[in-house]
Amino acid sequence: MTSSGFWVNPKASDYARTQGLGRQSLRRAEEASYVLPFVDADASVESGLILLGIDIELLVAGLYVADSDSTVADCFAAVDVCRHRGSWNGVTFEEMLLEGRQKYDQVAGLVDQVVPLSGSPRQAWVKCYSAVIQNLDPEPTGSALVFLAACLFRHHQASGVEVARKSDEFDQ
Amino acid sequence: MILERSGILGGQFLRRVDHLRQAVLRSPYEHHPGAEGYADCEMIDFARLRWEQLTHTERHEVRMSQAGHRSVVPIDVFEAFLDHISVSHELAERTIPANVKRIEDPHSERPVLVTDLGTVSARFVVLACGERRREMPESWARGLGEDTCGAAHYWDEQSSLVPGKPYCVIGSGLSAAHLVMNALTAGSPVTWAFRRSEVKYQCADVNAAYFRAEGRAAFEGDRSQRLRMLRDQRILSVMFEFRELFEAAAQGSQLRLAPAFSVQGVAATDNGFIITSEDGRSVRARSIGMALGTVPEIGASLLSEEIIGSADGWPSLNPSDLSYKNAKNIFAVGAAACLAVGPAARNIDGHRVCAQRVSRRICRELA
Repeated sequence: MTSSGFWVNPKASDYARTQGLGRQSLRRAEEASYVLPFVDADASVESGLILLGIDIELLVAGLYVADSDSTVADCFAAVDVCRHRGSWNGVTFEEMLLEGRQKYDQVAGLVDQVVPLSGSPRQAWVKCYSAVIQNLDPEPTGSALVFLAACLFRHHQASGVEVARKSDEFDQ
Repeated sequence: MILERSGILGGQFLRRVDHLRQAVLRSPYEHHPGAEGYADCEMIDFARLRWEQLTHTERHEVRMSQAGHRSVVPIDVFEAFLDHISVSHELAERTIPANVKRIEDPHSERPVLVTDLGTVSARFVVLACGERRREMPESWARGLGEDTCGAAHYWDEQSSLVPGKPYCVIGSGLSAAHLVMNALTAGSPVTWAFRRSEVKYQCADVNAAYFRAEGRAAFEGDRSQRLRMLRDQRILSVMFEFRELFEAAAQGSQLRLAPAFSVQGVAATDNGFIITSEDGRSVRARSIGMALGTVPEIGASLLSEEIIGSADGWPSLNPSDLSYKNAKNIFAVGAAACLAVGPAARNIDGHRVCAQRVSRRICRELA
């Protein structure tokens, strides 16, 4: 506060100087360099990060297609085609979503054990992925593992996905 | 309904790059044919989902794109992405392998397309015919004679290169660079003849500003001003990636550059050709590769001159919806729309801008 009683914004550089900070430190090459993520990390890291950013309905529906043999790319392509065209191999998007949600509900209880706290999505994903492998029995493999881990990572959204029940369930 | 000669979407482009053995796109990851507003997968995400299949260099290019830098996309990734988009939007099912001969009743509410399979009438017709190669002057063709045994070829044809034998490439663009590279790889001594004083190396084929809204906005003025801007931008150039390779080959004498070489004539000899320049220089070669640029398909074979309204090679289009000024239900997109949209109209991202303008008008009228 100034003597006249008004707040003023201290200059950021003045503040930094008094705190022993300042721009000098950023001039050190190792701190100023911009490092891109490692390109030779496991492919599941790259595909996992993509799944963390797609529409949640696509992700949950992907659990229907994902299995131990297919790749994440193939599963994503199938769900994407289904969403655009309305069906894929005779299965509607709503059916995919329903089946995917049911698969998710079977593992949703693991959330507390696998969802990590980390400011880095990349590191958080690796921790989540590893935790799913350790905690699920039998251990899922292939695209099923990646889709399950991504759903658990985004459990707040995944558990909120609303699905329409099959018509025969209404009849019962 | 999509009418395409081969029935394969993107087939012409893919055939051409196969002939050239072109391994990468010039357009970056950000420019892709996914439909805007329909939550289509981005091409970079499509590639990242196939991380295991990418090489170390290709992965680095993805990182370049993520960092906002210019990136280089493998052709196979692009082709797979095209296929995915085609399947997602049921484009293959809507594509009919037909050759359109002409368009009748272009002024009417439902123009009629006459094809080799029959006639089709449609409320709206969009011409997306791309570009064709620029042909050699008549004087060269006379010099080559009829019996060249296919030893002179264009960039979009099967190569006539004889490995190890002298080869001459005429042209200074990216296709010419691929012809040069292929010949060097095959061990042929190459002479590269071009009219400019030097090869121009740059990332994109037009100034990157024209890919952005402010660049397109700057492409204004009367027709003569826009024509001048187009001429300035449509200068053949080569991707930077070739530069070091060509400089090394030129130092090693496998590649001989012939700048400022305006071809005057070509003559067949017993064992090949002799190419002469206007200033009296000459080049001998066993075979010739020609990459003389491209010419936009503006609908000249389908519509009358009165409809096209072209005195300078570019059609007269309404800039807001890219309809022909003299036929409001017929549109032109891609390279043919360069004078209305800007030089980037011939590139993938320019196609997106064209599609937006045309579809806005069509959707409004169908609503």
